[in-house]
Amino acid sequence: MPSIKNLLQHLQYNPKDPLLFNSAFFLIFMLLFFIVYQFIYKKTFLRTIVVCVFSLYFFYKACGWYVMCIMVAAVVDYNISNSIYKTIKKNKRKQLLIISIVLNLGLLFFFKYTNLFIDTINNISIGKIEPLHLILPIGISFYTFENLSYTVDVYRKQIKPVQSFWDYLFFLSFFPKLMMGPIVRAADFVPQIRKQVAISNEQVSEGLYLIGSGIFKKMIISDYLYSNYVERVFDNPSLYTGVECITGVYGYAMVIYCDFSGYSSMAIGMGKWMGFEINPNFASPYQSKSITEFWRRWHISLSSWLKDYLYIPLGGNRCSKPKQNINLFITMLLGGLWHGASWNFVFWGGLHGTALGIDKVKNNLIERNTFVKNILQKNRKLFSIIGIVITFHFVCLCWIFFKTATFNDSLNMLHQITSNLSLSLTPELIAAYTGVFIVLIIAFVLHFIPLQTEQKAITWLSGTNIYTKIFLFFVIVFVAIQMKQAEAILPVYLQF
Amino acid sequence: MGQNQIRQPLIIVFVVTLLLTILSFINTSKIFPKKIKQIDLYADLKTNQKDSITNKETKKITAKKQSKNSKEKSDLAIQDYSINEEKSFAHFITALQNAKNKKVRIAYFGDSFIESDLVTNELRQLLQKQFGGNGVGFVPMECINSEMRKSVLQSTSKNWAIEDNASKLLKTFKANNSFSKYSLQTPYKYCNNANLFYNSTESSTINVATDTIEYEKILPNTNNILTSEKINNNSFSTLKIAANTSSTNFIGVSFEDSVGVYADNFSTRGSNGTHLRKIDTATFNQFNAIQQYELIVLHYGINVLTNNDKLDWYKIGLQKTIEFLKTQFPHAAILIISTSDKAVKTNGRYETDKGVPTLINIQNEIAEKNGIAFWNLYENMGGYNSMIKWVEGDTCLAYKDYTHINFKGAAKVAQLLYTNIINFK
Repeated sequence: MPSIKNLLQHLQYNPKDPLLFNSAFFLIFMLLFFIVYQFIYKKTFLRTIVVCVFSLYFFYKACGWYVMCIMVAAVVDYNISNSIYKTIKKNKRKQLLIISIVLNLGLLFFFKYTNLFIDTINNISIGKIEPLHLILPIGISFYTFENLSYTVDVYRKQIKPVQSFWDYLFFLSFFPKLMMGPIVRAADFVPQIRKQVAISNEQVSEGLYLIGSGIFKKMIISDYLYSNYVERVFDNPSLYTGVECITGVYGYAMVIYCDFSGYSSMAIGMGKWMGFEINPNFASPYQSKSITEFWRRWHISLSSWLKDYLYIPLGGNRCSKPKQNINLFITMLLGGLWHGASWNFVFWGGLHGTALGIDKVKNNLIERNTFVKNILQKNRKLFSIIGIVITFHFVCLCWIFFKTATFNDSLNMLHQITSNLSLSLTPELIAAYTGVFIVLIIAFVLHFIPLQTEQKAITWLSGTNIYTKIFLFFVIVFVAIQMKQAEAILPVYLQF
Repeated sequence: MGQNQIRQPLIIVFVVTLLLTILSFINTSKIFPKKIKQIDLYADLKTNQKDSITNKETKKITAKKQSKNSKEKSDLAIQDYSINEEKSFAHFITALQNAKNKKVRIAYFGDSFIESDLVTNELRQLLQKQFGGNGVGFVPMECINSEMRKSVLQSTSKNWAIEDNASKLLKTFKANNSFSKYSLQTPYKYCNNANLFYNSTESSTINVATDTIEYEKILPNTNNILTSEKINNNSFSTLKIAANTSSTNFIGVSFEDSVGVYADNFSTRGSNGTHLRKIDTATFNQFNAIQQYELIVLHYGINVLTNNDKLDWYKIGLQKTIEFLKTQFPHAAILIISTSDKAVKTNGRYETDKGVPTLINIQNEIAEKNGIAFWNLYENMGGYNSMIKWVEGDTCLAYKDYTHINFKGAAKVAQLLYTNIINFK
């Protein structure tokens, strides 16, 4: 039986077992939260305080005393933004904005990029600086961007500052989106804080659908594919044949999508169950027919943030065509770096930036040539399919650089795919990893289900009674637990 | 908009948590089919998770694990069970000490664990530093992952026709306007002797190019007997052999000095070692007549483990293999290196494979029965669950398959083995 001492220990932060959505602890956390929420949801101020306390505890449980970082960030940005709002002098306003940007980015750079900086210096010179033992505070990449967009919006006079510090802390620390986004804009979220909380039957159903599909994507597809196949292939590509590597890359495309969008869905769904709306973050991105469309469907909150706060300030579309492409390229390079502290991410961003530039040029050429335009129009379906296949494979190529630990590993993987494909081993591969391939195929089929079908499912769910909803949620959680406990499929080396 | 449904999320979460709690406290194996795992929502809160390795045969090893601090040195050292002085491990040590006068060669057989010259590269360097020698030893014309070898970068024309013989150990290659290029890497940057291994039915000509000179070399007719022929005229750092002859079977090249220690890596992906008894004896005898190996190392195990402890089939196979190797290498000492630790996921957690202790007991028993040497790599790695530490520790020593080691892990294994060779009494 659980002992009290053990229970207390589990209430504290454990670096080896940080809190994630997919843990049993989170289920209990949610239960406690909803119990408390029933009593306070009508009282605006109390609700704000209680949600903040739950959020900060969640943050503490996920990354220990780095919870202080978000509190400091909230205090600083709340006050700076208020000062910006009150200040009339243009220069003073600008100075305040710069202070906010330097502080926010400074903190992010310190935690996220110090070691990359040290490594790079060590690599290019004879310097031998010891890397620091830094832990990246969870969610810092997300809330730093939220802080920045808030301050910039106040500076641009697009929004009024929040009325109280608690409102701001609520916006920044709102636990469903704290760890993995979406990156929420103050303009969308802050007005909801003081609104009366009321949840319709549709919102309950949407929430259930989103949380359920989030668990399905994260725990049933992503975690299963990753720990049983994808992780190994990416960890040491040279041990695997080309056909294993290429299926590993297809697998990773699904792993990263399901992991990331699964978290987003759960966050948005939980928001709905609490009476808060968060904008969608993914829209079946692998259905995209071009790389430009891909970035409109992939991690929407990040790409729109980059557009509004980086691409447009750089000049956006209001400058010459070559300058536009350079702006796009810079935006994507920095966007790449945002994903993690490695030059591989920068390269990944560069590849996407280049492709976006080429796509723009291609669209301009098509626009000018009526003959080509007509052909494309007449064979729309065919070219859509070609577009989807090309875009997907380009994105997959980029994932190789995104995921492998070093540039050398990326090249190793490409080498295996291009010169050591061993397609003849496919039947053995499928026999050894049947489960993995079934899950992968299911993931792809579900990904291509049209949006209307999703909508129909939600409408159907709205018409069901509470017992059906409980049953469905139970089934999803039960299957997820079973998949989590499933014995790992043993690695099989196909070249005996 | 209808009524406020704020209670619904609570009810859903509450009932589901309640159901899972109930399932956590009852034995579900009686209700559900066998394949369904027991739900344990509160697993993390329970104290003293039991180790799942509990069967009788493994008691000895788990006992060692518990008294890790008081672990006897003998558990970690190389055990020499030999009765025959000439084939003893001690005899090999004497040969090592004399390596500055007479070449000592080690044939290191293994699976993917040692692929790309892992372990052997670092071991060779340590031994050469102590006992002399310069060079990577034997390298085939072409091998899996040759581009990953740190000791010698190898590129080939990819059109060598492989004559797959039963052994798969010494592959023979037929040239079809083919080449193999070897770029020696630190610390073997320069080499004085490159010997080409081949057999042929008539004399033929190959093209040899080093970093300084390119020339044609005539290979004498060997009457189909495996021969080694020195092909370089001076010291070199890169060597390219190009050939277009159908009468010659090429095997590989060895890079070495006239004295010192050389460890040759023979890795066979997916193998458990028992295939060695099926090798093409004629070729291998001829090869050994040239090389005269002093020590045969057998480093297998990860392909035997399938998360169960019924390994009788392996015991029989290993016994036959050792008997066979003793006849093939009548003058060499034989060392069995135990399986490394290998972790598998059971009930959501990684843990040492159930079969590991059983497998090690078998490997030790066979070594003792046959009077050969045994070294327990598993205990040297840190014993029970050490692979988890190797994968997840501050310095990552192994890959996420919880089976294979990386370059850093290989250096550590080599250092452990080297220390035990040096300290052998």
